[in-house]
Amino acid sequence: MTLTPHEVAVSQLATDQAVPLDRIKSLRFIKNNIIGNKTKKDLYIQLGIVSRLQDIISTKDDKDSQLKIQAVIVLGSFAFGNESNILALTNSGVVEPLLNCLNIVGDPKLIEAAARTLNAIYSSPKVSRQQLFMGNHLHVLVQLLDTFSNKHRPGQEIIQVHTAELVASILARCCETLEQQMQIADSGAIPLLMRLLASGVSKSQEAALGALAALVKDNPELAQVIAQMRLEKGERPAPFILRLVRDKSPTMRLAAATCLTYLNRAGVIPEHNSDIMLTVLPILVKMLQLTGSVQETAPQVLAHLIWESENMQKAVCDMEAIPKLASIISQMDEEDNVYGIVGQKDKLKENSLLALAAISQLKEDCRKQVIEAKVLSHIVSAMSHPSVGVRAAACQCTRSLSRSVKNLRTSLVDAGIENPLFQLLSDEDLGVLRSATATLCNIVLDVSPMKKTIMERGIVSKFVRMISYGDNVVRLNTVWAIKNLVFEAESDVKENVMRQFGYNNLVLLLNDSEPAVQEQALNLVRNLAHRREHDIEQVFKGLGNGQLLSIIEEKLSWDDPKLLEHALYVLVNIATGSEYHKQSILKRQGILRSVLRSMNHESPAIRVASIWVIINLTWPDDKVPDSVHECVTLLRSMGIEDRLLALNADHDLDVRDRVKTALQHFLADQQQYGHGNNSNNNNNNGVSSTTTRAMSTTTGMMSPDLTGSGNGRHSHMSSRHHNPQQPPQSNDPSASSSSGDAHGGSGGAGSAMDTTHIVTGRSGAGGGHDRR
Amino acid sequence: MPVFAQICSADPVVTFDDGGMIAVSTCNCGADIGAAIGGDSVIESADDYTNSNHSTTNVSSRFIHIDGIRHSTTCAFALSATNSFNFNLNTLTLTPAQRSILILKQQQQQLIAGLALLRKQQQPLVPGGATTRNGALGATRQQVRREKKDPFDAVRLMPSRISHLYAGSRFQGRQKSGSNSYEVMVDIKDVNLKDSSLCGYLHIKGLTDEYPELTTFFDAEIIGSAHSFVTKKWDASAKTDKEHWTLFKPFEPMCDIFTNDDFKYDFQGKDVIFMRWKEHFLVPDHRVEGITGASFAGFYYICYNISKGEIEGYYYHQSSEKFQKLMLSHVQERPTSFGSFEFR
Repeated sequence: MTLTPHEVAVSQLATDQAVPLDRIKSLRFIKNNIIGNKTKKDLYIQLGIVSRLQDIISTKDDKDSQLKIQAVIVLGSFAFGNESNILALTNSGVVEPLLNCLNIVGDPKLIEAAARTLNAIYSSPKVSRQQLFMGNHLHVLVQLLDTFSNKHRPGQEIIQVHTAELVASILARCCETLEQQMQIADSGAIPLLMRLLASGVSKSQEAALGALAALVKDNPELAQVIAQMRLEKGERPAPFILRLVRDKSPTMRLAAATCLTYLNRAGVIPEHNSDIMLTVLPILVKMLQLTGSVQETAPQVLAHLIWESENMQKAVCDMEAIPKLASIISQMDEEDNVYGIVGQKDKLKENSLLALAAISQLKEDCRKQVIEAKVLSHIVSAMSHPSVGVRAAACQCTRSLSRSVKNLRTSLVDAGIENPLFQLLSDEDLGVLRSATATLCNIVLDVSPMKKTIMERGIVSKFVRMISYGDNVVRLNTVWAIKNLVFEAESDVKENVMRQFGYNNLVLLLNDSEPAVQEQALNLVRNLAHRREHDIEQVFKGLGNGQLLSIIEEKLSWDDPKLLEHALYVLVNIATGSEYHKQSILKRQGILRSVLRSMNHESPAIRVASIWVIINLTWPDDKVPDSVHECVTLLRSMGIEDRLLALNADHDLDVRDRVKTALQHFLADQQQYGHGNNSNNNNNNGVSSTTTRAMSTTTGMMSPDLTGSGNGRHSHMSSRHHNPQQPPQSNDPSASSSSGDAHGGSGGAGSAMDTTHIVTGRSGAGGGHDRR
Repeated sequence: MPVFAQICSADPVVTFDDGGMIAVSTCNCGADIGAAIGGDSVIESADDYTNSNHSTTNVSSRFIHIDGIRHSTTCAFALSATNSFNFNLNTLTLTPAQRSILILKQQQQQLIAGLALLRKQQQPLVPGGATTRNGALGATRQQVRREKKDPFDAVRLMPSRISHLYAGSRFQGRQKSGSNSYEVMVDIKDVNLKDSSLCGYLHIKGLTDEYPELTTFFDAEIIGSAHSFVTKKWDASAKTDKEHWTLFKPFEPMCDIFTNDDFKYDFQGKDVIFMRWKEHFLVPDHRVEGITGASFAGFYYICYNISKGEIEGYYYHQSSEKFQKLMLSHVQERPTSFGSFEFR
């Protein structure tokens, strides 16, 4: 049997085999063989070299570090440029001994080599970062960032600076979670990184920028801390970094732009908004025409920066970024076709698609430019790309473009997004599934011709599986899609959807742990109960009359204005239904009191919604005049007419217009029934004064005592609800609650309702419950 | 135990003169509390220090020190260190040297206190492998495991409305062309006030024999900060603009100024909204091109009266009959139901 020189070299590495010098020789031989040679690297890994190397770097013997250094360098060589090799290394457990090589009093060359190898290993996102945060490792790493104190040996300054740069780069790669970011911040890395930033050494500055960017990325808390610090000369970091954005080196420009992007998104440098618009944006757009890693990363940073800002999206549009991105994407497709190279530039494609998604997110003008750039067919084919990142980004792009009735009716149909989209709804990757379900929300709208075909393919049957997928975003997108699908839909479509989806699932969503899901579920109820009496009846049957209104009553008590608005519109829509539907609302004192309270809500949209409830409930109906009259009487007794009168002076035009309509209903009732019949126990003087005021205000003449009417009415109310047979100092709790504040009217009303014939059952204790 | 003093200057020397503050010590959790930062390093101004310190303490029950190190407020030493700093910063009458001595004394006391605490507590090992020096903080963080917000989460396009202009709203009326009059119905499909735009379908009856009912998609530019009264496209000249806009009575006050570059109309809060409606393609089949006897190449000048719920419009196209008038009023269902959709 003969051994190849490679096998010999590996065997000589064994601890008990050879004198140290031979082992170093073998390592040098191996190193020279594998550099840049993937086949040889694979060969050595198969020969089991990794565990040998691991043994070498794990020894406690520190007398001669040469052997360790060579072993660490060879490990680094394996780690460069190949993810599967990196995983082979980490699976053998090399990270821990490598971290142990970082010893502040050890050989600086060994430390540098170990840092370099670790940095290469952490280039793979698949490697666990856990070990770095265990024991003392992070602490030691941070010490290595300190190139300024004199603790280290003299004559090693350059190697110390290199080490610090590598450490900064390692830290930048270990900021994936909030937890990790916070631990690194806790360890005291930030001031040292700031010193590195101000060091004036280009490479160190780039490394520091990378680490600072990673620390502030999606972390407003740390962003705030860093933005508020000061550099040596008292300067804040942001203006300093802004100068680096104009550096001659593209990598420095990118690093600085990235850092500023994250600070900007965290909202901690508002004073530099215009600098970012005028300096950072154009520099990022210009980078799209560079090559290599800068071109690859720039679109992702650009997307991040402009994602939430309409102005920045518009500005980037004006800088002709769309044609540039479009040509990157379409050229890449052509190269793929010619050379069959797949996978090499996936990241560039993914990032460019993401940038297009960002630009076209909010403005129709920008969407139009994307369509005109003739890139849509490439986006659609990217939806079936082998890389998950590309698929998700392509889907984000179609999501942005589908936020437009025009595109839904035209270009998206022509491009045929429906097929690939339907495929992606079964994708195994969560990111893809999230963006696919988000896009689906727009595709199923009534304005989209694709709605019909995608329903025929059985989209409804997929909904149940999608909400039970176990991901909050997918669940939110699903209920959003259902809500959009039933918007303005025919009764049979609604029934079909709910038959397959199940009202039991709807109830679960209405009580979901995520308020955002609840909001969409309420909106779904609103759309189901929309337009036709039959549709309202279906919801009543599906949820059960009692359960439906109990849910609404509960949601009305929430502070979240979005939930409140949808809950009110559910009532608005139910109130367009039959007599039975209206009565089921009127029976609920809690609901009526919430409506009354919402009429004073700070948001005009909610005031309008609550007034619509009143308008629909009191709509004159010749077929059932008595019940409308009873309804008006009840609402009047609760103080709703008074609240409407007060809203006559609302600053919002829409509110005032709705108030006019509502008051007309009260006035019509007054004219038909007069004040005598109003209610058995009513104080006639009080009612007639209301009527006078209603008449004067609806004809546009403001009653002079209008501002004082609140107090007047409250005293009237409290006098009214006291039973004359009782002593004047009643211990009724609502008597004291009606003392002049906004809730007073309804407080009194709780008791007043006892005296009406419409409401049965509940007692005046409601006056106390009114205040939440 | 990690020794944090190493990253800081070893000697607790206070040098206020050159702007640096030093308070080196060890607290129970092993971290340096007093922001041991020398004159040549990162320096925080005194005001920033006190302010940021207070606010973060209040909000999150821990504070982030100017050295960027976060400390749990459960650490007794941390609190006393904070207090001493605030105190010192307020005693402005002291000379730098006096202040230095004062701070040094306090630090010595605190150091003793800190070491006492240090002996009592062991570093906890947090499940999941990571050791945190700040025991209490580490524990809370484990309980409330926060996730980073997805930076690419879609920005919501909340449906907007202004009186009768909302998705699902309908208008009905007629368009007059010479002696002919056609029944018209408008469906509003989407309103985006932030983008100063809306869109919908325009149905017109009896225009041609081939299409007894014709539906087109149109979008609207709402005149305001984003769109001026001056059209500058669709073959409309300044003269055309003037001759059409002046047909609307509420336009009168703007008649002489609407071409000024600095004139911007704000539709918010007004009783009248001006728009341009431009038809783009046929519904349902957008691919159909050219219909005999009908054209939608032009656009409408539109004036919507909010309180009346009425829309008045004039169609303009170079080669069409001039001033074809559109009169629409809002279709009020009685009572009214409102659905709602939102783009995702």
